[in-house]
Amino acid sequence: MNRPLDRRLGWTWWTLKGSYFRIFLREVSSAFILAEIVFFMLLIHKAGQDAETYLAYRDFLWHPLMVVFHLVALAFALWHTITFFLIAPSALPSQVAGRRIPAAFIIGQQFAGLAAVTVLLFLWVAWVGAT
Amino acid sequence: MSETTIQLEVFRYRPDNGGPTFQSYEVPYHDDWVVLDALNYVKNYVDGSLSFRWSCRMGVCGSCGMQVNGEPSLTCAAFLRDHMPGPVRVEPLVNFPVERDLVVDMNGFMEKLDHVKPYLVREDEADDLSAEFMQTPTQLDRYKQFSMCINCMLCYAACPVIGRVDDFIGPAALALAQRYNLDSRDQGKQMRQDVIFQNEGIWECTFVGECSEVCPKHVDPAGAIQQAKLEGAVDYYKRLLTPWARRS
Amino acid sequence: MSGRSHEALFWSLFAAGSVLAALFVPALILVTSVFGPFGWRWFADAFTYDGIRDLLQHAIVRLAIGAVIALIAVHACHRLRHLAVDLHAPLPGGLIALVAYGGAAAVAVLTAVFLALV
Repeated sequence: MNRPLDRRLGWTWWTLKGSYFRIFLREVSSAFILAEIVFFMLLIHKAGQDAETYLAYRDFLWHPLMVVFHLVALAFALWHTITFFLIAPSALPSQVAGRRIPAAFIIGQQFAGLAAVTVLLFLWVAWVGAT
Repeated sequence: MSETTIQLEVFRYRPDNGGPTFQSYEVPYHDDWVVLDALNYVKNYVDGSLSFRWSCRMGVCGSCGMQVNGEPSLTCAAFLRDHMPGPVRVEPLVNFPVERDLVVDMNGFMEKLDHVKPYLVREDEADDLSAEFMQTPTQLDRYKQFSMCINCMLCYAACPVIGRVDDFIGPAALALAQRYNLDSRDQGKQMRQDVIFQNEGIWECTFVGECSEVCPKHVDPAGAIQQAKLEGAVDYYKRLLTPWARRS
Repeated sequence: MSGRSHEALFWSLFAAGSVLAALFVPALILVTSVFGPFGWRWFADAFTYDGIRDLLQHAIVRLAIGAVIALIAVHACHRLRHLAVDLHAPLPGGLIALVAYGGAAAVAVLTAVFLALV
């Protein structure tokens, strides 16, 4: 009588080793990103109402405990950014017009893009705030 | 002077003898011994009833894949010295049904390989068999990395999606599909894409990426699957926008 | 087997959202919710009532924000869907997908409405 043994990875696979857990954290980042997007959406919503309503919501968003949450969310968002940039070279076709693109070049370009987007956004908001 | 030894904890399973157990063996330690050498020592001098697959001892045949301390590894390339002072836990590859001891059933994997037609497909079968199909170094370079696969199945043991979806075609077979789809001499891309663009093909993959981590040949199946997803998305929109185009 | 999948549609939106999330979300969090409460004046001033209405004044800015938010919402919901599936959530796959993409669509539509009302 032949009874093969079932040894499939179950739902706890992400607890088995560090590399799995880091990917699990990457997937969990989406919950924090969604939360921040919804907070921002509501900020826009309140901006469309009177000043008092808006400021009450803004102060809730800026409450010290909420800022702790934002910093945690920021860490997760950066984890998504970093993991995403690092795997991009292997996810893209290895050649463009018959030429191989070095992985380090693709990764560098992405971080340069991140820096550019971030600085431009800072400058724009600071400029609006200063004028 | 007493000889240095290291302890192996080996997964034992005989279907007629109840559930699986671990059996410990004390084996001599040598700097240049790999786990497979230790298993062969057990088989030859300690316990002849231990079953495991192996063949080439040099990382080419892909038959000696097992879990070494929880990591899918080729036992012919896993040095004992990296696991000193031990013990070294040796188990059959996870995600596969275990037939006996360290031997897994690979029929499911073979069927999946078959689905993706991992060979050059020519539409004009009447081609002169002596015909040559030229390929430039650039054309070779497009798929070469994905052609290094030795079918050792470590990537299937590393993949949590395989544990959830029995029918998922899986890393090695999808990388091989990509290998032939990228080959300038091949004409079977449409047929393969009909298979890999199904749910059980590339779309079950969530890019955990562990398949590429454990691959002893640096095939990067995770990358191959993402590249196929990109092609799948482009192809999807093409079909959506040009429904009148005839496709085989 | 099941024929070619429509997952390509969701995946392509997810991939686009992944790029936008990677580029914009860290800066978005810092600007809207960290610099202000840390007392950096220009950033605090940008989020007074008049400040945010200034920020959202131009139609092009609103269009850009709407598009970025919508795609990032798809990104996050798609990933949450697959996380639920990878954790073997004991629910029908179709239901999980419906909730996830329904949520993403709700965020996209509401953001568009709110932007129009500012």
